[in-house]
Amino acid sequence: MYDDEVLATHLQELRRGTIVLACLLLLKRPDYGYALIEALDARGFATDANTLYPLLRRLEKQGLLVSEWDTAEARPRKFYRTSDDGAALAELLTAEWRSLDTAFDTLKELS
Amino acid sequence: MTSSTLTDRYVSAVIRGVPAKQRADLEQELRASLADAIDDRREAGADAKTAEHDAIVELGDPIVLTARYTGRPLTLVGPALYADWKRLLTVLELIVVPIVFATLVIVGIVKGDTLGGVIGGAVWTAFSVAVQLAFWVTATFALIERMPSTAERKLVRWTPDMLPETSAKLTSRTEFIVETTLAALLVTAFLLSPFVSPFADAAGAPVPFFDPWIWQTGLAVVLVVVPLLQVGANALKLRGRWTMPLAVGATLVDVVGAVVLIVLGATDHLLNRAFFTAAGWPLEAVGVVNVIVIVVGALAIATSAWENIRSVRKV
Repeated sequence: MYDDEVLATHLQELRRGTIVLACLLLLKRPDYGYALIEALDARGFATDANTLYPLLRRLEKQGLLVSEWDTAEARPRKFYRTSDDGAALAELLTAEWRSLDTAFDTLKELS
Repeated sequence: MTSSTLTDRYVSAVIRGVPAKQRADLEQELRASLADAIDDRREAGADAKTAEHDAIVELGDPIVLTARYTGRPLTLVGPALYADWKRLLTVLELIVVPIVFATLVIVGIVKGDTLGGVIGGAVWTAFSVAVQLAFWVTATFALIERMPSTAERKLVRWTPDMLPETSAKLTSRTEFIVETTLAALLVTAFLLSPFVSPFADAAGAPVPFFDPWIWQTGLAVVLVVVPLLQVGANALKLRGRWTMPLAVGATLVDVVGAVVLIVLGATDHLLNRAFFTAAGWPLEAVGVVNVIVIVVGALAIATSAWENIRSVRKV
């Protein structure tokens, strides 16, 4: 019988790539890092701040997100938004997710 | 002047490792994120100090966070280079260290230093060389790991040709029987020699064929144990149970045996001149045997490491 640690590792492996897709979809409406963590958490994509913040910068560097400083409020915040490239990638990744889901269903029917 | 806050210290620790032109932007974003997290915790009822402390704990070790921001590896030598690192280090250590040790022992004995001093010095130097090798090879690989431009970082592309042979026949059965019989005969003759001799001295005690010095110094133990260990090693090779640690151990045994042989030859302590006189054999033969023993010992050291490691590859 597997223990909790094994379960946690497998769940983490399975969910690893999903945060990127969730970010690309959520950030069609601009948002800043701290608020994005809460938004992701509320929608079932719990993620750590120390994973998400570097991820946002990496996606920005890859041109999938664009950023803008909002200095209108007392606390200046860096807002990220999904770029056109990012939106296109999100389409592709969503299609991939759907096809995986279908593939799993086929597997279950077989067994 | 106010002392720096925990946030100041944390932010400066994180941005220190980030390229200069990204620092200001990252600092501002990180400060805003931390401030948001602290505000949330204070609204939930935490005091200012605890809120700041907990928000920073959540972000974790600044070294790890910096590495994630910059994409630098969190390993000294990563998976892309590990195989190359391990192969190179193993081969270098197994070739260089025994050669250094053997050379120092031979040079020391030729210079006429005491045996204990020679072996002690050689062990220490060989150890230092092993440590230096490990350090510099690892440092070089850590450096390559951190070079950003090399996308295809595999140094040596692995091919199936690099696989070791699987043949269990590391040593043939005949070879094994001959070597074992020879070792048994030599050890028996050697053990009997102080007690059994065709010649007796004036007091009626037997004149041994080998120099009694070997027993007085305790080197006799080595001359008995080493051949027995070598037979054991050959038996393991015959069964195909041969691993790198065994190969290293067997090489060490071979080297110890060879060094003792060289010492006996170089110090003229192998054969007993009294026996040769009693038998009426020419004393020059002792000198010839001494030279032969030294050469055999040197050759044994040279071939042992290669032979034993080659056997590992065949397993």
